[in-house]
Amino acid sequence: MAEYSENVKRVLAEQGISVGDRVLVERPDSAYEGILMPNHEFSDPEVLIIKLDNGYNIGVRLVPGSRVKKVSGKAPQEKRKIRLSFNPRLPGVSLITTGGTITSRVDYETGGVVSLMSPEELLSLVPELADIVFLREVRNPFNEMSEDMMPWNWQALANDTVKALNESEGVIITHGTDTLHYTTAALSFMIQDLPKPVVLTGAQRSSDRPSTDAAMNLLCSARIAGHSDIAHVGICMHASMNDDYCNFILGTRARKMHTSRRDAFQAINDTPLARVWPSGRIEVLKKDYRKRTKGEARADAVFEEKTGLLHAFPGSPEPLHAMVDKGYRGIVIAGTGLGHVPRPWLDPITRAIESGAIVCIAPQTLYGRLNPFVYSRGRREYEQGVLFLEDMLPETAYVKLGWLLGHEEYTEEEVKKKMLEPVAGEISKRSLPGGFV
Amino acid sequence: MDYKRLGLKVGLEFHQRLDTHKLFCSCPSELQEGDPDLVVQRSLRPVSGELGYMDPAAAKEALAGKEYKYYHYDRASCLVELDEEPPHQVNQEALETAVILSLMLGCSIVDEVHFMRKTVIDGSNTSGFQRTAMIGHSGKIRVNGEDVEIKGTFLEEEASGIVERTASGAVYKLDRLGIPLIEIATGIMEMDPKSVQEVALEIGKLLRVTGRVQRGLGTIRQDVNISISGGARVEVKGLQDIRMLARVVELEAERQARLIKLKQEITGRLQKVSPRPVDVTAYFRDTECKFIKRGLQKGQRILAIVLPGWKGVLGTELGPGRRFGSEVSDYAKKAGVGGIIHSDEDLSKYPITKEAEAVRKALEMKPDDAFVLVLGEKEKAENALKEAVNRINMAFDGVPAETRRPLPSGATEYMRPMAGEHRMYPETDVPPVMIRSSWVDSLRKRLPADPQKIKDDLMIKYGLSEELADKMVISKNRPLFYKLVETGASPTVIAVTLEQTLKSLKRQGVPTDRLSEDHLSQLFKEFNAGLFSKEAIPDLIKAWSEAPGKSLEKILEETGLMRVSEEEVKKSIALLLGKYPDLLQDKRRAFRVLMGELMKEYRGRIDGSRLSMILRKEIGE
Repeated sequence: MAEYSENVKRVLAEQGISVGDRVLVERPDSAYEGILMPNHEFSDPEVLIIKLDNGYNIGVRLVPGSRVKKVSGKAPQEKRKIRLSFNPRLPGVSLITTGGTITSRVDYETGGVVSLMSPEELLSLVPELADIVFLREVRNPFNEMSEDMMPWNWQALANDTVKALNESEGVIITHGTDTLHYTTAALSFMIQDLPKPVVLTGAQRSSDRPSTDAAMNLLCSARIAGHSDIAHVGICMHASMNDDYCNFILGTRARKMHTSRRDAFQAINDTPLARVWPSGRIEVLKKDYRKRTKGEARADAVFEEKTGLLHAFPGSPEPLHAMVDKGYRGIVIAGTGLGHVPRPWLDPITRAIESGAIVCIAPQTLYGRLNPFVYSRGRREYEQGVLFLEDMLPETAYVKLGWLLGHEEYTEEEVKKKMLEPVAGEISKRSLPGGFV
Repeated sequence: MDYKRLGLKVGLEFHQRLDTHKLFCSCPSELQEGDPDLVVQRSLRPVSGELGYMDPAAAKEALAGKEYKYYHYDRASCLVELDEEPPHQVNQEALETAVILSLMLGCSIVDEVHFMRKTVIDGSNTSGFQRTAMIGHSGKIRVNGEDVEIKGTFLEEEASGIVERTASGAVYKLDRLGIPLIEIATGIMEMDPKSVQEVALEIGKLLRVTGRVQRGLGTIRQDVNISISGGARVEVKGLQDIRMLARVVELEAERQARLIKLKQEITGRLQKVSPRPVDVTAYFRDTECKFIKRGLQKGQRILAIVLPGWKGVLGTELGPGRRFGSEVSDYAKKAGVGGIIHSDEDLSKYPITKEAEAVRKALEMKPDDAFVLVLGEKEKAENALKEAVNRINMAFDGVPAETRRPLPSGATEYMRPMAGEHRMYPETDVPPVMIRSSWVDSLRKRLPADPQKIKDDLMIKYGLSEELADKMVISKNRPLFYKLVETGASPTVIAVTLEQTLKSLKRQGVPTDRLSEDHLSQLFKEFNAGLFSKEAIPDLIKAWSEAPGKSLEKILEETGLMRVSEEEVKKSIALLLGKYPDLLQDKRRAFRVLMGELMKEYRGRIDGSRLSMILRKEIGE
């Protein structure tokens, strides 16, 4: 929020005025009466935002000679109690909320800032959920917009998910979308022996809009979590711009491919596990999925923070040198084409490997498979000891490498070996013609 | 009618599309025809019980299960209209126009513009809300010596155009969504309907004099709020033709007066009706009425209610082609039936006279009882009668507060109950726009003149006829007109060319758009130099439009429209006189004949008046 000028601050303080009060601004040229709204980040420091009785907000500048009077205090707000009744005969599902657009809304009281919805509010948006699942519990380990999500959040979330999972038929996690695919990759590795669905979902349009995609995403997620036999961590969001059905995409193969569209999440080098309709229809697209079992999940939530992800680009490899200087233990480079870096980058790669770091290359193209042997640059990198990660997404590779390195018991050779073996469907031996844009 | 005594109050709201690209994206504001490039299907839902003016339960009902389809055209909509991309920053040109118009309306401009979300739940906006911001307030204009208050001016998004309503929702076109609109709201006016219309015409003129608004059907709409003492505020929505305004106000005032009279007549004499429908389908088994026959074949029923003592009430006339029964019918239609049949109608037109008699007998109706019939599926018909009874009983309250739709006759029909105040929330995706006073001052200095002043100027300084001046005042071509006048050519010829010739040629399919201002400027320079006559202008424009790359000289040469010299005309006259030597015996006849011949020869290459002058001189008339 932008600061008011000293003058405005003084005037408001003198009159004992705070946000929500009804005020009268008398200026030499005109007068305005309405509710004082919170200042906006981009507002002029001399401007008060007033909500007029016709509902419109306008900015009113305190020009010299203006007077501000408090007409009345903040009107008491009615708090609506939201009660949800669930049917315990339906499949029991746990909900974990972590923040993000799906739980964001305009603050109706102050009218300005974005606030977090309570889980009850979120659920009141989709009361139909009560007809699909029995919501056993709502957990809220932290509230972060997903751009602020850090590896320790993944670890906390993995631990919470395992607890929730072992007490229900499936888990739904609401999450911001920016880094949602990092989190799903992390949970895919950090939850072992997964016996039930873990469904992550989010929203590209916030939940306070009539057109929000959150509602259908939540309904479809509940269908998967409560009623499918797909025991995977995955993302369940809009399959297209239509409000008709969602895709459930394997957590290590999903990626946010659009800044704003509802169908931003796409399966890369893969087909979605299933299509799911809010009405309950589930169409399984990948026949070789892991089925629901009776066992218990186990958390393996470790992460080596000296792991990094870097884009190869035509230019000087200073960032890579910096990572070596900082003692990074694992480096994933998103390489060009079949897995290449520019010639000057070979030097810091050698330095990294000599310092004991594991250097991997994943495809910058996202789609397709690497091959070190077609061009001399690839052969050279291969000789240096760079790991070529086949068709693994760079973000997934980063998460996997950090997770493997977090296991202090693994030797370097074991980490390297495991990097090239599938743990959660993140790497494959065959490239099929589907799974491309 | 004495409107002062009637207590007539009218408020106007104008919605005018601006002639610029869309408000929150770079799509052109152009309507599209033909098949869409993409159809997207959506649903909307009430959020957190915060649906503005609507009761949450009602909102839920309004939205539940509704499916909307949106036609997307690559040419005129993008991800912003599809609600797949956040709005871009506000269109500066639209904002400037809104400020200019607000200033012309004497408004104060807000110091910071804050866009709001106004919830709309009919699906006409993909986001479920309309973006709107207040730009000006506390304005005043003077029309015919009276002050008219301008309450506010607003810059907002146009809604999608509807293609059709479907059983489950509606189909909309996205080409219209997001076109910038300026809304102008007047204060309450206590004046007669004709004066109200003059105010509207004046505001319409102000809008067009800026040269920055769209023209044509649908680009301007008025909402009219009308009430009389003892009546209620009724909003007539979406009036497109300003010239209908006085009639609409007159008829609404009359309707309200008659409803008040009706209330007085029935109060104490009649009782409220209870909705106890009776199935009378059996009496229509052998009906000759075609639509009833068809309905019954589909399994529909006919339900009736009796209105004890109400004979004549439904037939009460409220306006042209409108009776109290029409109002009742409008309400019944909301339940999804085709309308009602009532006993004050001429039943032989259906024809169901016999059937009605049977119903009367069966229901033991007294001669002064009335009935209402509805045809439809049982549940729908029941709901329709409920709505109908609801409206019938409102007769005891006089005038219900309603939103109504204008009909071609100027009368109106019921659309929905009057909405309460919209609740609005900030559009957090659009940053506030600071309005610098230096900018406003600079715009204020460049405001278009008052339309009357412009008109006087055009008539006095430029000698245009009143008709031409009226056209030119609101013409988009006015700036060009002033420029072309500097060529020295006759302002009237220029005005006629711009307002008539170019338009009619364009209608004929001549690509006049290919001619630039420079082309026209050159044309009038040469015209002024006497190179060709004014009669030649349409043909020259036609030829030049086809080949705008050629020089005017070349066009003149190719068309042969170069003005003839006096010498040449004289030679022709001599030649003709040689051909018809007897002609000069009757000079008046000679003039007629020769004039005809010469005009044929020199069409477009000489002014008629100049030719006649030369001819008269030559034959000595």
